[in-house]
Amino acid sequence: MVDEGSALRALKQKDDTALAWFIDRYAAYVSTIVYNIIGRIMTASDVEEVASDVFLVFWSNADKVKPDKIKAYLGGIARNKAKAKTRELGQDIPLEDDIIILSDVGPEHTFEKHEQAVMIKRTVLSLQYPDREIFLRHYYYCQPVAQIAEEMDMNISTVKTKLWRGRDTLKEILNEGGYENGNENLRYDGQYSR
Amino acid sequence: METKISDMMDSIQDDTVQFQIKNIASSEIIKEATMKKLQVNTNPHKRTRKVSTILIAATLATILLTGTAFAIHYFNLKDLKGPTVQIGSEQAKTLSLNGLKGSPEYEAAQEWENQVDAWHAEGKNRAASDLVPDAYSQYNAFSQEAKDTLDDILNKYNLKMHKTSSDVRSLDELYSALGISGLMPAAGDNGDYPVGGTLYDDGTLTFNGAAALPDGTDVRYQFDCFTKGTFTRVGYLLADADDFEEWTYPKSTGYNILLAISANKSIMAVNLDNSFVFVNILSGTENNDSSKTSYGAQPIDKGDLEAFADGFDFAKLSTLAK
Repeated sequence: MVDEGSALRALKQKDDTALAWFIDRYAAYVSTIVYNIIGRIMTASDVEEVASDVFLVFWSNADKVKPDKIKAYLGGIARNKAKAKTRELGQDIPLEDDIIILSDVGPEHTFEKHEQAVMIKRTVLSLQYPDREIFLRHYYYCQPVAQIAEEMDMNISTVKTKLWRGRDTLKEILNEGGYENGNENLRYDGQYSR
Repeated sequence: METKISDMMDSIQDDTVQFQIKNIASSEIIKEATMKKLQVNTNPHKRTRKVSTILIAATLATILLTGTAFAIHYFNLKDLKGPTVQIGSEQAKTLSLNGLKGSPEYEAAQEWENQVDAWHAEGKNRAASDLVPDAYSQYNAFSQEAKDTLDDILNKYNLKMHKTSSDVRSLDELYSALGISGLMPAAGDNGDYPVGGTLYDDGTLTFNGAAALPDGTDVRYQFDCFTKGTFTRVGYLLADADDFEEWTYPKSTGYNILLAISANKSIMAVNLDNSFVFVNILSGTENNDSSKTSYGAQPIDKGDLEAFADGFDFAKLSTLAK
């Protein structure tokens, strides 16, 4: 394999040497993401187990992966697999004010979950550096505040302030979108469905 | 309404954050474990498909022998009418997603939603910030009173809660998880519409998909298949039954499919013996209301909607319920 494009083409042809090539290339990246989420409650061998599940999904879904999105795809699967593992164990991931309260006017109304996800993505991407990176590190990659501060060379209170600002922006945009755009595809009180 | 920021970010993909990479795990061990799983998974999947094929064949054989055919359940949109709800200063009509009026699933959903609204108005049943999610959380039952009430409603209608669920992010991933393929129309261009869904332990499935119709038209849809005897909290679809032109579309398999089309959205619903299928299609005859989210989907006509319905294999879908 000489590059990711040719390795991905080989993977789509179900060439397992291509899978091994990607594991060599991304094992540390995937393991780091998994470790950030489950490292506090599980062992290194558990991290390896979850990481292997990530590459198994990558193998199964190779047809859907775009050549320029391989790292993002693996990161997303790693993150979600690790989160699922914590749920399996009945554990919660300790994050700063992870619960957000949306508008409370009248009966509960909310976005259908996937439509909400589109708006979340747009909101997060609209944040400026370093706020966006801090927000992603904490709420997407579940990195502890102290670790973010260390890796980004900031003090803890600055990280917390920026997280608070991001949360506030998110809440404001979601509340506006949820009640003011008259979106026909909103589901009444349907937050759980998807 | 409380929700978790981290959960709302599940569908994001990012490669901008540069981590300090840690040498926590061995790539050789990961490689070995992955290859082992690959071998194990390949064979059982084949076996599963065979079993499924056998099951389907056996079901078909039983039908032919007994002459009962798949149950034919005629119904129309009025059988799905839900409550009128207040959206801002306006009243909005709804359709039930859980099942037909009078079914245990429909009635339980009505009771539970009314109760949740009443608690909400009184400021009760709020999730604590240190909430540890449990089986009740999926129904927004946080207080002990709410949990007890939900138990009462489920007992009254003889329904069960979902125990476990797993998320899938594509049609292929769904088929891989089920060990069955060909349930839905071939995947089409999803634009910026996020594809994915949730598969529950009892066979209930919710899935947002994008389909390519035979003439190349792309449609995006929200698919729900609820196993009867279980309870799923999905709320209601904001839609007025009177806005739709509806008809029953018989397929050669014997299933009666309710199809309905309006200017900006369409519906497909099928009442199977052991599950209820409801699909909200984000395309109508015009798709001209800018206030509605169609994710750039193209307008469709009645023929397109029938072609969309043809893409579903209801015999296979009816095997999902456990």
